[in-house]
Amino acid sequence: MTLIEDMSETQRQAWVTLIVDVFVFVYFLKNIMTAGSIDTLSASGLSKLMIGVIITTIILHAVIASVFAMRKQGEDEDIKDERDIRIERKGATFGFYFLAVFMNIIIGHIVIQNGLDNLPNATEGYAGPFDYTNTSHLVFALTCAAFIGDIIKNSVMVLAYRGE
Amino acid sequence: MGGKKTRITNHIRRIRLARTDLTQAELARCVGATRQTIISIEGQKYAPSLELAFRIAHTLGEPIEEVFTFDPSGLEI
Repeated sequence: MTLIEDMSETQRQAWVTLIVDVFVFVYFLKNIMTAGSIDTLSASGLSKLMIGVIITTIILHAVIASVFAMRKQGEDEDIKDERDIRIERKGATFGFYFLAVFMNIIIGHIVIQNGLDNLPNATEGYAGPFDYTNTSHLVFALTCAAFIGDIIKNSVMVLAYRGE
Repeated sequence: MGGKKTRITNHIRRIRLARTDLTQAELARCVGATRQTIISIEGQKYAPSLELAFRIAHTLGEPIEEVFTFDPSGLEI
């Protein structure tokens, strides 16, 4: 593994962002599991949790970006070169692919849940892992998608730096 | 996650040490890359873009064919 002092700024930023995202996501899941399930959490409890997680994520990402921007100001040369840009692009591509697949799965589930019930001979509806007509479930699924997408992006970047 | 194995090998480290007094950091500064990229290129882990390859060759004072080598084995013509 590359020593921290040998890492480029982009590589360090990917590591820090990855660690922060994992911690916030684990905190989010832990709060859901402590309550039992997404259904046992009250509407106000879920709202507080969601707002807290979103604000925490925004603040932490802003702090990380600011710290690394301030570090760049002290350097004479441009810190991000073609290899950094290429690895960032690879991470963004994989993160986007995951989000696209996940969104299509959610859309597919919603269509199936609404469509099957309307079929003439349907005896029972489709019961997937989530009930997307329930706002709490939908919000939980979308939040998980956003976090996992970002974790995948930074993970791919970290792995790409090891391999290249 | 390193991608497809490249057929391009380079002799940057040998030429840099034998014919110049440049450190990796100095070479990186001259060609507009980071030291980590130069480390990766010298370690045969990363194939630079055409422009960066020309910059490196120019900085080392050698023709690009001396600095970079392409392995055509397995290539179907």
